[in-house]
Amino acid sequence: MNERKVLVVDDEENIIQILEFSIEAEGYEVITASNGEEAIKKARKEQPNLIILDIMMPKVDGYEVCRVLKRNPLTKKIPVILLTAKGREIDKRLGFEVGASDYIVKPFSPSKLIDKINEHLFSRK
Amino acid sequence: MLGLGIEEIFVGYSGSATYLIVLLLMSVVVGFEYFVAGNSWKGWRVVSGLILLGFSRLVFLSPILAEKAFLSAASFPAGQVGLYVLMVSCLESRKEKYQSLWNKNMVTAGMISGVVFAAGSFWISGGGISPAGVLFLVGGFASFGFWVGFLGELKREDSPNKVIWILGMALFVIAGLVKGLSLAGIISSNLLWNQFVSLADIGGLAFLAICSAAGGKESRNFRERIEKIRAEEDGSNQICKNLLRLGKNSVLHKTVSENYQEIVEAIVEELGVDFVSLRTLQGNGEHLYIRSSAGEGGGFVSPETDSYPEEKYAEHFDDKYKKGMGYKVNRDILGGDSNIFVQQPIEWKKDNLFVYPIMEGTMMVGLFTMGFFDDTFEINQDFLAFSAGLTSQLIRHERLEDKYYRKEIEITQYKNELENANQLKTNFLSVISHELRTPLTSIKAYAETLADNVFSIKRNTIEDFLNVMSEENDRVIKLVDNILDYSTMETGQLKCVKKRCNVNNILQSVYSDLEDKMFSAGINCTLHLPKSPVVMYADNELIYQLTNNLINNAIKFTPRKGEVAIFLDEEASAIRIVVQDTGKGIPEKQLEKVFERFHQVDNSNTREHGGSGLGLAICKDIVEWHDGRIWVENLKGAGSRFVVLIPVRNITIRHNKTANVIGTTRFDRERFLSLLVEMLAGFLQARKASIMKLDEDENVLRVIAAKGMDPEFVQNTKVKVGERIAGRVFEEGRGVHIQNIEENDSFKRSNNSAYYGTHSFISVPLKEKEKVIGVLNVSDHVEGREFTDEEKEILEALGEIITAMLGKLEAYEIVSRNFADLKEAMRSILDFRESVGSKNLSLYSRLAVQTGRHLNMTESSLAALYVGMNLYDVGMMKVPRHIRSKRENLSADEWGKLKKHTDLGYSLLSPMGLDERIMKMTQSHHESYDGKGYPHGIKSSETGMGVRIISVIDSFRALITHGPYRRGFSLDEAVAEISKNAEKKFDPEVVKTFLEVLDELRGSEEIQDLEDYFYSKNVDKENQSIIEETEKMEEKV
Repeated sequence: MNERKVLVVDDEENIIQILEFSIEAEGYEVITASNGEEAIKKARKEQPNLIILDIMMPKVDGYEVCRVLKRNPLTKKIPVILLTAKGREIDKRLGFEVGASDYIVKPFSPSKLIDKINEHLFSRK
Repeated sequence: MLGLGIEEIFVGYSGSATYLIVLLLMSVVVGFEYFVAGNSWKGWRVVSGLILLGFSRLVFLSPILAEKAFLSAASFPAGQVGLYVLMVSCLESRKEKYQSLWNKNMVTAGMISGVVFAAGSFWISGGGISPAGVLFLVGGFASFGFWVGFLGELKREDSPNKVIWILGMALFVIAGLVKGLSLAGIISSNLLWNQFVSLADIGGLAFLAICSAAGGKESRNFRERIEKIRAEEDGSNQICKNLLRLGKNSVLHKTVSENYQEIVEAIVEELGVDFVSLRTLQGNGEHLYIRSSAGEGGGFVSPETDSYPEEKYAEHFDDKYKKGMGYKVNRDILGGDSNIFVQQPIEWKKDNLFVYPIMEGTMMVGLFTMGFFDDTFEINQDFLAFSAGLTSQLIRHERLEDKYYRKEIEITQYKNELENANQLKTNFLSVISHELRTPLTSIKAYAETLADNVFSIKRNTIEDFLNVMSEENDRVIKLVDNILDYSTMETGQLKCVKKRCNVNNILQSVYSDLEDKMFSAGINCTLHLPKSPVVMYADNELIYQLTNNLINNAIKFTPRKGEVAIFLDEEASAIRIVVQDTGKGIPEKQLEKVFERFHQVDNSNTREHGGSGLGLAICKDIVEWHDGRIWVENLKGAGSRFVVLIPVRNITIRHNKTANVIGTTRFDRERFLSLLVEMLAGFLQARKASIMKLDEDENVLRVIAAKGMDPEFVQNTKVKVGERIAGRVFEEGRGVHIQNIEENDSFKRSNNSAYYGTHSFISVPLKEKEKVIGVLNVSDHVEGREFTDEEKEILEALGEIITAMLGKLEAYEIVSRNFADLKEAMRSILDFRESVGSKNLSLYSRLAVQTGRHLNMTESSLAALYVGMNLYDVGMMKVPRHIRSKRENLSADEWGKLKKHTDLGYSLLSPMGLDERIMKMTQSHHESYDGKGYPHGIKSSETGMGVRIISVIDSFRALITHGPYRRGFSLDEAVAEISKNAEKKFDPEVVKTFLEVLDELRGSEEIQDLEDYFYSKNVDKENQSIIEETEKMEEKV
C-alpha cells in the first residue's frame, strides 16, 4: 500500500490539510501542491498514482493543469479527480473533456472522496 | 319665272331631303333635350328655327301663298336662317361628341344635294346647263362649305380666319337675298343680277374654301401639337415612373439627403431650369433650410442663405406659395437683394425665378426655388407637382425617422442598463457562490472527518480541526456581514451620523487592528500621521470602515515582503487619506471600474484573491456620503494608490436613497414601467397609452402601465379575453386601427367612451414568439389628428421591443427576489447561530451526529443531520422575540404564532435549494412519536431518523437553556424530563441512544463548558437577578 501516492492540489490550505489527513488515514502517501504550476512539476517528478485537483486556482487553473498533464506521456495515465466549487453541468462536461476521470463538487463528503480514491486506485490494478 | 322658281326650289330641296330629314329629326331631339335640361333659351332657338324653316316650306309649297310677292321673297332667306339656326343648335349640342361624324355626313349630304340641285336645274332649263342650275349647284356646295368652315372656326376662339369667314358668309347671304328677290319678282332677274349672284356665291365659296383649307391646316397643326404633348407626357410618365422607383429604392437604401439631391438633379435634367434649390421648414417652422441644390454653379446657393427666415422669404417672394401655388417671380420684387439666393450674380431678366411649394396637406413644409436665364421659359408644373409630392413624403419620413432614431437610442440605453445590471447580479452570484462554498467546504470536510474519526482522532488534531472550522465559520460570517452591510447601505437603511471625529485616532485604531494580519502576510506597513490631530465632521464608524476596507484591500493585493503606506494630510478645506501598496497595480481599463459593485478585476477561473467584490463599492458610497471623492491611480514601477478627499466642513447631507446607488441594480419596477409607457406614448405622439397584460389566474387583461388615464380607472380595469376591443385584439392576435370611435359599432357596444374619449385608437397584441401575452393601446394623437396605418405598423414593431423589455424585467425581478430571499435566509441562519451560541451549536451538532451514528445512519444522512442541526430552528427568528423567549405560559394566540416557526423556517430555507432531509428537519422537528405534535400532527416515525434526533436534542436544548422567566434545568433534570417523555413525544430508541451518547461525553470538557455556560458564566444580568430571587425563594421554602 505504501507505494501508492496521491497528489492533492488546492489553493486552500485548510482543504489540503483535511484531505491529507483523510487520505493518509487510508494508508496512502500524500503529496501536496498549492497552485497549478507546482502541481504539474510535482506530477512529473513524483509520478503519483492519483491526482485530486481543484479548478479555481491562481495563475494556472485546474482545467489547464489537467490538459497539460494529459498531453504529456509521462503523466497521461494518472487519473485525475476534479474537486471544485463549480457545480454546473457545463463545468462538469468541460472537466471530462479535458480528461478528468471523476468530478466531485464542493462541499464534498470526505468519506465519499476516499471511496472514489479507492475505487480508482484499485480498478487500475 | 316664279312658277319655275318654285318648282326649281322644291326639286332642289327635295333632292337634299336626306339631310333635311336628318336635320329635322335631330333638331326635334336637340330642342327636346334643351328643354329637358332646362336651357329654355336654346330650346326656343330650335323652335324658332323650325318655325322659320316651316314658314319657308309652307310658302314654297302653297301656290296661293307663293303668289304673294312679299311672302315669296321673305321665304327664301327665312328658310336659310331657319336652317342656319337649326344647324348651329344641332352642331353646338353635339360638338363635343359627334363633331367629326357630323362634318363627314354633312359633306356627303351636301355633295348629294349638289348633284340633285344640278340635275334639277338641268331638267328645268330643258336639257341645257342654265346659269340658275349652276348657281344652285354651287350654292349647294357653298352652303355646306359654309357649315364646315363654320364648324372649324367655331372651335377656335382665336381664329385668324374669322374675317374671311364673315366675308364668305356675307356674300352668301347677299347672293341668297338677291336670288330670293329676283325669284319673287321684286327685282328683275336680268343677267346683271344673275352675274352678281353667281359672283357673290363664287366669292363666298372661294373665301370659305380658303377658310376650310386654313382650318384643315390648323387642325393638322393641332394634331401635331397634341401628338407632341402626348410624347412629352409619355416622357414625363417615364420620368415619374423612374422617380417613383427611385423613391422606393431611396427610402430603403439611401439617406434622405441623398434622395433630396436626386430629386433636384432630376428637376434640372427634366425641366431644363438653370438651377434649383430645395428648402425645408425647420426650427418650429420659422426658418427655411437649404437641403440640396443642383444646376449651374452647383445650384447657385449662397452660404449666407443656408438658413433663411421664412418670414423674410415670404416678403421677398410674395406669400402665394403658402397656398400651394407655383408661380414665376418678377425679380423686381427682390429689389436690391436679388443676388442673395445665388452665389454669383446672374443677368436678371423679368420673371427669372419660379417658386414651387411642397405641401403636406394644407401645410407648407418646404419649397423649390428655380431659376432660368431665358425669360420665355415654360415650367412643366405636373412634373414639379410630382417632385413636390415625393419630397413631402421624404420630409415626413425624415421627421419620423428622426423621432424613431431618438427613441431607439433611448431603448438601447435602457436595454444596456438592464443587461448590465443583470450581468452584475450574475457575476455577484457566482462570486458569492464561490466565496461561500470555499469555507463551507472546509467546514463540512472537517466536521465529517471529525465525526468519522471522533474516537480514534488525537486530541491535538481535534483542536486543530475545530480551530479551522471556527476560522472558516468566521469567514462565512464576515462575508455575509459584508453583503448585509452593503444591502443596508443600498436600501438607505444605514444612517450616516456625522459628528466631530478625530481621524488620527481612527487610523491608529484601524492600524492596530490590522497589525497582526500584516505581520502574518509579511507586509511592512507604515502609517504617516500629521502631528496635530485632524478633526472633521463625519461618521466615525463609516470612516473606520472606509480606511479598514482600503488597507485590507492593499494587504490582500500586496505580495509577501511588499509595502503598504498610509498617509493622512489636511489641505485647505479637505482631508486627504492615501493608501498605497507595492502590488501589481490595476490594469488601466479597470481603474474606473474597481469601485463598481461585484467587480473584481479577474473574473475567470483563476481567482487569486477572495472577497465579495463589495469592499471598494462600500468605500465609494461612504466617501460620497461625505461629499468627497475617491479614485485610484497606478504608481510608476508597481503598485497602486487609492486617494480619498473629504471636505472638512459639513456641506450638505445628501441622504437620498437613489443618490447612493451606483448603476441601476436598485431597481424600481414602477419607474421602469412608467418610462416604458411614456416612451410608447412619445413614439406615437399619443396623449394616452397603456400596456395590458394577461392575468392568468382570472383570464383577464389588466393594465400594468398607463399614461394619461385616471389611475383609479386603470387600477380597476379588467378586460375579459374576447370582450371589448382589447379582449378581442388579444384573442384574435391581430391589431385594430379605429379611425373614428363614435362611428364604430364595436366601440358603442363596449360602452366605455368615458375611458377613451377619443377619436382615433390603435390597439395591437403584444406577442412573445407566437404567443399573445398582452395588448398595447394608444389613443388621442397630440395633434388631434387620426392615426395612420403606418403608425399602427410602428406600434406593432414596438410591441416586440416592449415584450423583450418586459421579459427582462421579469427575469430581473425573479433574480432580485431570489437574492433577497437568500439574503433573508442567510441573515436568519446567522441570527439562529447567535441565539444558540456557535460553540454550543457545534456541541449539539456533534451530539446529534454521534447519536445518529450509533443508530446506524448512513454517512450522507449524518451530513444532512449536521447541517440540519445548524439551521433547523431558523423559523424561530421570525417569531416575535417576546413570544419565543417566553416559551411557557403562552396565550392561545401566542402559542399559535410560536407553532408557526416550523413552517416559517421551511419557507425561509426553500430558496437555498437544500437537501430534502434537511428541509424536513426544519419543518417536522415538532412532530411527536404519538402523532400529537405540530404542524401536521403526523407520527414522527414517518419523518425520518434525523428529524427524531433533532426533536430530542431541541427539547434538551430548550430544557437546559435559561429563559427570562425561568431557570434552565440542570443536566440531570433535563435527562429525567426527556426520559419521561419517551414514547409520548420522542422515539424511545432515539432517547435511549442519545442518553448513552450524552453519558459517554459527560465529564468531558465540552459538556463541562456547556454546564458552566448555563450555570455561571454567561447568564444575562437581568436573568441573574431573577434567578437569584428564585433561589432566595427556594431557600425560604
